[in-house]
Amino acid sequence: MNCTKRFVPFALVAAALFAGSSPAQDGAAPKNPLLEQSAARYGMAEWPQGARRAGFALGEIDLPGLTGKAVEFHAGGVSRRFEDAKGVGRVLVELAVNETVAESHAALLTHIAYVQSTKTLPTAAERSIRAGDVGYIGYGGKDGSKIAWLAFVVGNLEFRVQDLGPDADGAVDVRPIVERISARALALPALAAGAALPRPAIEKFAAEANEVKGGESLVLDLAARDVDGKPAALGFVVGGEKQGQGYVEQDEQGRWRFHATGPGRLTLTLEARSRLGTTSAKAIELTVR
Amino acid sequence: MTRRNGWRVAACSAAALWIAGSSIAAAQSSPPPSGPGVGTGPTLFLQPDATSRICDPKLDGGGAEIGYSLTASHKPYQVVVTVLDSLGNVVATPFQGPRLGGASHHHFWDAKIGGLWADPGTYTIRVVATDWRGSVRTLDRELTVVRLGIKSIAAGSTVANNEWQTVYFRKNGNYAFYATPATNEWLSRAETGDLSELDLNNGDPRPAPAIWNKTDEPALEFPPGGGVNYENDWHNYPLCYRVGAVPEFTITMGVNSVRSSGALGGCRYPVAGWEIQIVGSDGMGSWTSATPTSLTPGGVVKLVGPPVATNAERHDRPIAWHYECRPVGATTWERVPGKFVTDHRIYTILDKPYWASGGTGTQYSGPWIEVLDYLHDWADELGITLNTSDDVVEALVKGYFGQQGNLLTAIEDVHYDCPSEGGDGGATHYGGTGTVHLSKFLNNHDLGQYVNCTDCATTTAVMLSMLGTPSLELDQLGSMQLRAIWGIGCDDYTLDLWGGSHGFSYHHIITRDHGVNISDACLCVDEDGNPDATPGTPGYNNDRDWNNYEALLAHGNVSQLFQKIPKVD
Repeated sequence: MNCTKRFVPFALVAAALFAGSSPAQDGAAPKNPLLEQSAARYGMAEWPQGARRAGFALGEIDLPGLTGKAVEFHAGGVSRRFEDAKGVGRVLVELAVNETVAESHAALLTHIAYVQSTKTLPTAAERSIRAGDVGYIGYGGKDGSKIAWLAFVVGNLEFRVQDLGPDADGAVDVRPIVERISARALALPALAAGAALPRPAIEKFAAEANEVKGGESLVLDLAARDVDGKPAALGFVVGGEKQGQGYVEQDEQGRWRFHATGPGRLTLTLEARSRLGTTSAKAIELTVR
Repeated sequence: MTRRNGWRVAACSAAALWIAGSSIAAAQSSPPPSGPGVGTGPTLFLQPDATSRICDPKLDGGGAEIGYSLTASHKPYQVVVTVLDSLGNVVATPFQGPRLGGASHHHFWDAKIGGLWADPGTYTIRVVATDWRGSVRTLDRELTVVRLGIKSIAAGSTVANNEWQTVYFRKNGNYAFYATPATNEWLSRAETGDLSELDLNNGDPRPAPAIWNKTDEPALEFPPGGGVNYENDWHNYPLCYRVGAVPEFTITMGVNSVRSSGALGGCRYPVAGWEIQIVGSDGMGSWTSATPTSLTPGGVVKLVGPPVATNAERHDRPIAWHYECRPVGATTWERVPGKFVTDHRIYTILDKPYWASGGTGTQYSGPWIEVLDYLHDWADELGITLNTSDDVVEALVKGYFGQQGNLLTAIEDVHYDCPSEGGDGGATHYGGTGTVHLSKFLNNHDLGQYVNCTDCATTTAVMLSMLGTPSLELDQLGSMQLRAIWGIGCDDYTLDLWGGSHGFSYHHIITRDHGVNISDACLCVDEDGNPDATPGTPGYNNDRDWNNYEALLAHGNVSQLFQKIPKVD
């Protein structure tokens, strides 16, 4: 069976987690008072509705004096770590590319609601920091004077820039980093109204057979292109209900191979990852005997 | 001619000696004895005793045992024990010298010829005894040198769903999930460039892979052409069983060996007319097959071992495998000298791993090794025997918080996200998007050293769940004014958590009985009877009664909202 799907947007996943459980509501998620209170406290309804963008090339950001590591894709978005010359992690940039502005606002709300301090977070604008449509600052360090993180939205993009050690020797100033990222995101052209987010295209994804013996492997035939036509980055998920096991690696000829390591049926999902932070997925089903 | 214990016994001169195997087939095709006899018969002074029929010199302690007895005599006998190859050439002389009568004598041939391993094949052990009168008696015994070796072991259980694969979360420094292969957790076969499955190219037996000790990354190999791959020829991964499970190992035998010439050779078994079986033993008992079948190269045999522990634990269990042989139709087995030891690390958990519904991916194949290892390190350090889920929760909550005994820091040296630690006011860093980033958390706090309550609650919930603790939920508490608390990674109790304020806008904890009792690994309440003052007396929150917790943590009533545990990556 082949199926193609889009990944569930970040904000919906977040909303699912933070919904409560109540038998009385027979599966309907009750409202989360923390999010409701935070929405009111931070005036969420008044947040500017920025234009939607096609995504953001986090991997193409350069930060002076820092080396950016590879962009990591994970549930809910992408992230990239920046290290200094000694290999010490200094800054972490998290990004969720959502379909809608509302989803990005929900993600920003989640970031600022789930702060345990009772203090109200200042906006970036209040501190004269140019950070997207709206942003909030978490101050840190022992004297509370340093920007530990700043979360902001640019239309459907939600960013959080974290200082990984505000008090550490050699700590960086997050402010210019935020402004650099913000300016770049704001300068991106707006998506046409109603246009879907561009996503990488999976042109083909198939295995040479539907069954494989444990300990053996199958060659995968696949091709995926990013939105600019270049090859997309790839990720693989081995899963399913009755989970057989295995992993995917490239062999010496550069072919992708599924190596079967445990019996059972499994769903092998190919995730094509765009430089703009969006993904597409396609799945095949295999049986490991 | 007589036959005793597989020996051909001849009372004759060396020239008259005839050689035959002990197998029925060999005996039937052997020539009759010929030539003039010397002496009055073998029973007079040379009798056979236990002697190997099959041997593998590459086993630990492998070789051939040679036994015989000499009748009482007032003078010693001159004895020569030799080994002949299939062409009749003497290839070894395990013993030569006087031996007293009235006793059994035993020698051992290490099955090396000129310092090299004897190749698989047919040999003859010959014992020649000469009494003081010059009478000569000779015993011949056929010996088959074989190569008995294990290529892989796949762990299972006699009952389904009692054994799980274990999971690693990194690959050469990057994040990638890998489940130990169910097809062969223990694997020892030819690497690229190796000739045989069982031996190194110099003929030495391939050593058994040691237990893989890393807890984040599986074994890797680096191809000459670049890149990094999972090691798929030689590894030995930890196992995970439900407490009390009866393990069943599926053993696959190797098919080829390296001869003394350096060439690839076979294993020279099965041996016609004989059966060979493998059995194991460890400190807990024996590993045997319910339906013994004679081994063949490449063959598969299932062996059932003693039950694993009845409490959750980590146990290194070396198993000594040895081989036995018997003539077809016989009822008793003879031991083949030597053994082969494989080491196995076995984790036991109280129940099956639990996960968030809808989670899919390799990370859900079973408990993560690093989590299993943490639990058992903590249990050992804290002196907690893990008999029940209560014990598991206690060990995990106290160990996670750390800062007692030899647990000098909190898990991964994280610190509460508060000003005294340099933090930022309690933001969520690992657990706030529906999926908790446990792999990054366990990788030396890769998303930063600061954690808040949601980070602690989500990570402890998924850790306990994968360790077999059922019914876990997150419990989101409403805002509150705090009493004295000791935050994870902090130096001491405080009444001023945020520098000017001391309350929570919310708090996340966990529960496994829908809030009757709760657990909270990110802080200790104060149990000194005065929870509104410092210093405090540590009150760890493992399955603490909710009312007691609420009273010690906060002023006034606190609301609760139950939530499902998150997915994990």
